[in-house]
Amino acid sequence: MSHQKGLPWLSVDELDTTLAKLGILGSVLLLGLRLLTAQVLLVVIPVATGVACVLYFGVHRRETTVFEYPVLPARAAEYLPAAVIVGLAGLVLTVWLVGSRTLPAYLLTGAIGAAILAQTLLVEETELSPSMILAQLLVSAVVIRLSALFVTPGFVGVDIWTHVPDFVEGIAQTGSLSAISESKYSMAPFYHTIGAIGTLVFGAARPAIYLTMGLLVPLSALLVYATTTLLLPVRWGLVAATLYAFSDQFIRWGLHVIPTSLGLVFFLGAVYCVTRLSTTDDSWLLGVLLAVSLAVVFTHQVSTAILLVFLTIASVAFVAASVLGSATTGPSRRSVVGLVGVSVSTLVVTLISWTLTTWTLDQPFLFRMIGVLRRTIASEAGFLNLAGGGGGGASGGAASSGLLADLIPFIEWFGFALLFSAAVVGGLAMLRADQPTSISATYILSAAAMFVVVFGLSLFGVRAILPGRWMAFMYALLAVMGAVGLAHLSGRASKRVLLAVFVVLAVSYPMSMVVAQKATLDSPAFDETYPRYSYTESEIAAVETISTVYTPEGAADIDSDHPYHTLFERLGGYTGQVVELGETGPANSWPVIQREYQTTGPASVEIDGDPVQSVQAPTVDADRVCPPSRNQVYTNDEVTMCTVSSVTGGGA
Amino acid sequence: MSDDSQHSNGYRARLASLDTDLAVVAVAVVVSAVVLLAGLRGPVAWLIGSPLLMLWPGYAVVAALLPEAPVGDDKHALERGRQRAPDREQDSEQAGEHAHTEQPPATPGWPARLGLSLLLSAIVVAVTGIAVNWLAGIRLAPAVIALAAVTLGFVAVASARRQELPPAARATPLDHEWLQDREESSLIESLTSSVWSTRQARALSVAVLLLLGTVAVVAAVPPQPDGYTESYILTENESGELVAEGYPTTFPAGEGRPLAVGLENNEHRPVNYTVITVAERVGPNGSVQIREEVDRFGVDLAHNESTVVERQFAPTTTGENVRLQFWIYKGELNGSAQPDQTMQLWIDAGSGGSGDT
Repeated sequence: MSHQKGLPWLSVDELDTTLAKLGILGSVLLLGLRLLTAQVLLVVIPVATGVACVLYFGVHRRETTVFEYPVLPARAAEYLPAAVIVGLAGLVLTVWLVGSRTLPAYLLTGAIGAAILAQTLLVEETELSPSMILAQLLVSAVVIRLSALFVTPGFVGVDIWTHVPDFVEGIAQTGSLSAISESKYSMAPFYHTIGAIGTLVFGAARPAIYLTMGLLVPLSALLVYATTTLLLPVRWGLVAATLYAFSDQFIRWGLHVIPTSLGLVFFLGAVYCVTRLSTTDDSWLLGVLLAVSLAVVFTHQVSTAILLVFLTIASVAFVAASVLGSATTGPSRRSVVGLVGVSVSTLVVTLISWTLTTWTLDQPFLFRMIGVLRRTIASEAGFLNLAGGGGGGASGGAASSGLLADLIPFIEWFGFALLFSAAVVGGLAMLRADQPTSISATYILSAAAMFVVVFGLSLFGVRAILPGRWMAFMYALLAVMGAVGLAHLSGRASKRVLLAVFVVLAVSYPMSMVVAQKATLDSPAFDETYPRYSYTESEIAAVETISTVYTPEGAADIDSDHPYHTLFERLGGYTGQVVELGETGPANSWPVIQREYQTTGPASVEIDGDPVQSVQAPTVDADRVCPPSRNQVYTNDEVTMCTVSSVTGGGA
Repeated sequence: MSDDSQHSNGYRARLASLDTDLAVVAVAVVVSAVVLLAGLRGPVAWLIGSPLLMLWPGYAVVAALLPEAPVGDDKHALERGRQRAPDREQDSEQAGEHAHTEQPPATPGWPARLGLSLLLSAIVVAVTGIAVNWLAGIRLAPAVIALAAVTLGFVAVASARRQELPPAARATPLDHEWLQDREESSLIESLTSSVWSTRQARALSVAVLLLLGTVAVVAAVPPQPDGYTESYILTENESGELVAEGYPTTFPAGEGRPLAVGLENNEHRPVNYTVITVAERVGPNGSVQIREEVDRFGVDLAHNESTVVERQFAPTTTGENVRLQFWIYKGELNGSAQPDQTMQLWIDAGSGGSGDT
């Protein structure tokens, strides 16, 4: 029955086209929010949604009568695999010669991604070799990440400096998990246990992390391929895996290898199992789903929350499909009972685990997090409270200005816009059926829920559940849905439209994603806007040496720029903060660390005032960070430690 | 049938009954365990250690869970796509109604099994590690032995489960068609067939060799980071340790005060350091009014070598705004050359009493 009396252009019978129309309308209205805040996502998301809905609506009635699939010339397609491998050799050589990833390396990485994506999208069906493309993709994913990791001294990122030097090495040295018994990982020891065993096997923690979980993360793109091929022909499995492998958030967790990374791998396994459960109900599958779900619980808390959202939505969708659907189309009763059982088991184990995890203030992790969330909603939440957002927002170092600086967020988010557009088309295509399947509902609702957490709650300033961590998980669902969308377009759009979509996607997506901030933590492509979250040998040595010679009995505070102060906190064991500067020097009397990067890179410092203002360090006179009136008691060419002198009374 | 033919058939039958992949896993696990327990480290440990931790355990588990050969692996899925290629409308319908029109393979294909092997390896290693922590402590020998035992246990289960199946239905990723007469492509075959059957073979072979060669060269000659020298000023605390806090601030005229200068050479070459200490009286506008050399010493350090040199500093310059500057020179001292590094300590020189900051 059609409900067309009030709004004739809306119909519940054609849910897909109705939502497409609403999407077009909603995206236009959402663009209006741009007038209230400068958030780039308030342009990117509405435009991506609008374009996707227009594209979907434009082709939905089109009937293709002849084969109109655009393909690459056969000779070009034949030599693309060799070109990809040569490109990887060039990438390894470039990174090795320069000592870090720079613009040529990023362009080469983007070109490699474009060549693989072109093969998945534009090679003649008869010439398509899944195993060949999969091999290229996995080798590329590993080489891109490990080439960056192995030329970077120490580790990339912030949290890993606690996880590896403290926890993993602590377990390996003591031979006991007691090294993490005081942390929130006391009931989530999987990552650290694997790292510790790797440390014993490889003789050092750094290669242990990189050659175990550092390899596991990029190779887990295989699970996205396997998942998508449960729904679509292999071409689209290859497309989904490539989209995911080259996404900034997935690259991020392959560079910053922490429990989130391992939780993400297990989550991909859970997505595969749930997708497969929609059509089969093998016992082994339920066993594996339970194993990976519990593995997430015993690895990482945020990943657990994300998994619980996914499993809950999947359970509801499966139950609904079982109750409302026909006996032949819905999941089997065994699948439904199994999935609900796994979901409930995971929830129960999570609650027990979080209750037994004592974190700060001797309070169970569960109650502590509930309290944090309650306080956040009560005190910080507010519409368009976006400042400093670490989740969906285009956050970075202190603000920089100029035309390029204005364009950078759009360059970075263009890849996401393409992925999101494809996923919106895919989501609408999934709704084409008279009755959406359980797995369609699972994907659409899960992606929507994660989208709300990542972007919706950020819009209201609620970031206590670390929305930035949810993005890589959401991307996995978007990649599969994006492949569905592209498959849908491939059968309906004209050859010209299809060629345009595929070429823009193949060329722009990898290029945009690999230069995004989160994919370049080790050496930002936009190095005047974003600080590097990696350190030179000198910078690391300074922390190690200072922590052996400066060990006051009381509070050991050392301030520096962001992010360098985090290294003093995590590797050095100090309670430092971002240095706060007054008119002539630091606002407090704690030792301050000045480094050469503060004069060349966008590390940030704070200017005393109400409110305290974060600025890029190069905009501040170096003498203001380390005034001549302070003692300078440590130096190593790049780093200087300045302490207050009672003689001059200066520097504080 | 000749004896040779019978012998050949018997040989084939025996080979066919072996689970080649499981044998490879078992041998690799045992060899890896022995090599690691023998104390071998470095690139060899990296090469054998990674699969021991991240592939073999999960592979054995997956083999035990899925003894059947994949039905409808990549090759078949591709065929499904090709069959529908002339009529793309069907594909698009499938995109929307996929679960109704397309049944996934009855058992997962090799890519899915490989993916599951990777993540199940992580689970097996973690669970084994936690068990070892309770039983014997997380040490190399207990961990490696336990991991090898668990993996071999799953290999045995997998082998037993496969034996329960007819040979043609067993998962045999490494066995070629001449061993088992059936059409399902093996893992090796599916990876190599497209490589060696087309014109791209030679170009791809050269490219792969180039990549392997580049990786080998880069691994053999790791990038040399920029060299640096660490310098720091230390003083003795109450318990006799040299620390970077509580420096003496008053230097009575005629009396020296002890300080130590630490130097660490990370320049990737031997360096002859010269440290000159000067006392400078600084005027209100920051200008140096008086400069006096207080101390000078040299020290030779090889790469990665460090030293702490304790000296007495007795400036004759007096005043409240006096700073001791430590000028560190790397290599030969050239007249008026600027020091490579500078440290400083503000002191109250020439007055009585003593104090620390």
